[in-house]
Amino acid sequence: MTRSISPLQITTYLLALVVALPFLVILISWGDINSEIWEHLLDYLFLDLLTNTLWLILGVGGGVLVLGTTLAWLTTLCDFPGRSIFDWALMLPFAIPAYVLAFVMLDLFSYGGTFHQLIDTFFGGMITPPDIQSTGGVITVFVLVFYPYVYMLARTAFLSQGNSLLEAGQSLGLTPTQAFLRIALPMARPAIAAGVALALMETLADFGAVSIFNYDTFTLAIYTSWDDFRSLSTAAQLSSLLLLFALMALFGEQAMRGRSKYHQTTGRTPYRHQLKGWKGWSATTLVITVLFFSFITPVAQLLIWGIEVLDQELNSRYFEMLYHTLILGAGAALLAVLGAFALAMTRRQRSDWKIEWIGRLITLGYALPGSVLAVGIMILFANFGHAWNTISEWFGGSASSIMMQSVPALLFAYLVRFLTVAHGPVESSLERIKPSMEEAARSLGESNSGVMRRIYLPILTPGIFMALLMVMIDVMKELPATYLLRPYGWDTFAVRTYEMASEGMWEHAALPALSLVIVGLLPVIVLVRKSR
Amino acid sequence: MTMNENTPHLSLNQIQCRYGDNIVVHNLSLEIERGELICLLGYSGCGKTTVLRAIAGFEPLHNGSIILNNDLLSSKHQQIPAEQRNFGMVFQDYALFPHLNIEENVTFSMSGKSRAARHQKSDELLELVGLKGLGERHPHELSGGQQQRVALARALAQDPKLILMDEPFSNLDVELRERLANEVRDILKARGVTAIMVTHDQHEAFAIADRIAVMHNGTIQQWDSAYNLYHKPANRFVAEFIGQGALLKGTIQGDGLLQTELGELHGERGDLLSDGCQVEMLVRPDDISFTPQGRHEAIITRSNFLGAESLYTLQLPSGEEVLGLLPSHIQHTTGETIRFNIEMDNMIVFECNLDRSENLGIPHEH
Repeated sequence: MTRSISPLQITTYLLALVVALPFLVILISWGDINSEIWEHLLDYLFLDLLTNTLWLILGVGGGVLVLGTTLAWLTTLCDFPGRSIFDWALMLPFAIPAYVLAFVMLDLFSYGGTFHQLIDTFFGGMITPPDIQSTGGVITVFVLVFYPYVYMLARTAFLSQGNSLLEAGQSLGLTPTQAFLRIALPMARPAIAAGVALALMETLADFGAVSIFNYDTFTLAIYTSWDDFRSLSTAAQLSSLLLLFALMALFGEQAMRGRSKYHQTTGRTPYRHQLKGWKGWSATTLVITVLFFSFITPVAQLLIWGIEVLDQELNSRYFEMLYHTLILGAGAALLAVLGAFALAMTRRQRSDWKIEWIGRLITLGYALPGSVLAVGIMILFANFGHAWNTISEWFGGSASSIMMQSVPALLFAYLVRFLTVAHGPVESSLERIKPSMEEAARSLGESNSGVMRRIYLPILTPGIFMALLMVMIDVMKELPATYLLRPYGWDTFAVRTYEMASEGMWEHAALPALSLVIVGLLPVIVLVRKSR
Repeated sequence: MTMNENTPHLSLNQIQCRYGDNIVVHNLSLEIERGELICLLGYSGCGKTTVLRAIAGFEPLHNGSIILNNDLLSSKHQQIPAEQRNFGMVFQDYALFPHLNIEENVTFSMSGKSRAARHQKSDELLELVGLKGLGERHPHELSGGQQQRVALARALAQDPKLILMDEPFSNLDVELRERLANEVRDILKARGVTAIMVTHDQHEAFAIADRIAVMHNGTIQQWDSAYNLYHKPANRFVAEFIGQGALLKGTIQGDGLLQTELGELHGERGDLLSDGCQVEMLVRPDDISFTPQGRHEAIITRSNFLGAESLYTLQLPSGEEVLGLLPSHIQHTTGETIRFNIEMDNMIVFECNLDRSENLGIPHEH
């Protein structure tokens, strides 16, 4: 066998470099500490940052854990009125970006908002509901947006456990509730923990919602130190601290997901415990309440606003945003899928420890919060720019700088962050091609290129399409990296939604937000169909 | 191309295959005639699949050569790619293409041909394998046995010089396995195709093969007909691997005579060994014939009902055991004493002063 390096391998090594660079740049930033800004940060902000972040981790972590697991238990192992609809409807909030729910909730439930006005009219100041613009409010928003991660994974875990173990428990004298607590729940623990870790990663990475709520977290401080103080190195140093939290969540997720494999037994779908009378109706009420606040309310409110402003807002500006959003999404999706394909093929052809490590490194990109990533890439491109200018001046050329805020910078960021998203579907469709199929095609007279064209391409097409769709929609919803790295005038739906919402101009945020929710529903529909 | 009827169709000359430093096939040689159905038989890990894959062109040779009709296919320095060999291969997992329907699977190798030609070929082959009219289905809509037949039809569609089958029946249930093995033999014989099959199941090998190569530790232990593997095993490994039987202690008395607990026995192979040599003699169940007037007596210690026959374990007065077969309608119970004679055409003996493990795996010179 030849030991030469193939183009596929070179691509894979390049990808590893692309993902590693932002990490390296952020770590190197500690070499240049701006003591003035840090003094300011330590005096006024840092303690808040830490306590707020810890509150979020505890509150959101605990919230999604309880809510996601309870809902999954209800829809898989119990039966109550409306169960079969709720089973899939509970995944719908996946389509709502956190910053969208944030501004809708803020409008409805802040002082002077619709809800307070209603209470005021009816009770005339006798009751003062709590303000949503608080730690509790932020946590509630995140829990409502991110509980589907836990719900999805716990649901799959409960369904895959089959019936026999619960029946064994009942034959040993456990009630259905005891059987759930002592058998189903411990077995699903790795899946549930993985779901909580994913929700925490998203929470830590969030920029839009905390910014709309004016709740100081690392992402916000990173943005401030760049926007107000123009200190990329301080932003990078704050980023590295946030990265620490995010990586802990990622490693937790990976460790748990690895273990969850051993627990899966296949069997008949579980027998559902009938919730009768008030029990059943309270389950229905709980689920409807969750759906009401996490999906129905935001969609309804966006529709009301959207229809109000449709005439004036559906203009050339809207279509320009649509174009920017689509072109960035499509470009990034193409890049990410090509990268994922190269990685998956390299892993398949020759899987040694180097390639395995590259595979792990590349999944780290997903843990990079968008703002952290943006800071890393700005520093990189700034340094490229300096180097380029120096070189072109040597050769007597004019200094045309490589822009920190440009489409290439954006695509770079999307590639790093969403390569893992593309890798999943590409790799699982590649697994459908058994090695013997390739050999069968060759024994039937097909050359290498023929095997590619007649076996790999057609079998991979659905997976590649799925990967393109998922990356494209993730990119369209992505806010912090887009907001920081976009070239001047390149507004996307996400950026426009955020900008209008943070100015309190809810109506103007509605149409782009609604557009995002609609495209966001596409992968949810795929998820729902897959899960049935 | 000149075809000499006397030269073998396919010959493997001293081939050696390695995975890293691990030699899995040791200087193995084999010659196969045109139209012959042969089988590589052995436990998993004996190197049989590696030999098949080397013939197919998927496994490089570290030494030796593979020659088809005087054309060199593989050697240490040269390897004609698998896609240029025109060998049909049937895989253990069938390897049907999931995105193509049955007709497209069968005619995969005919991409240059017209639609009509492909359609005609598919119809012909599907009828041959008993799947007429299923061309529009997709692989996942077929049962395991049907997928197996499609895999065979697909391999036959290119009019291959050779058919290679890797454990083709191992994923099927036992009943279907035997029936399909017979069918496949008939199909291959009717088309006059030369075929090599790999299996670990001797009944499958007996059902399909003209000649069988019993393999162990990367070498061929015996290359023979099923009859000879059973009745004239070349060494202790083959004797124990093929069929059922017991080994009975004895002493060589000279002139091909063997002194055992069952008296003095005469056999053609006994004279290869010197006088006084301690040996073990292979006694097959069919060497024992039960009769009330039999010279020998034994106690039945176990009976296995096999259907048409029952297999009895017989304990001789010394404590040694032999096996015997009786039609199952004659019932005997354990503990019963039974009389029998021993009737042997070939006496198969192995020296027993050697350590067993040393004796295993050494090919016997004819």
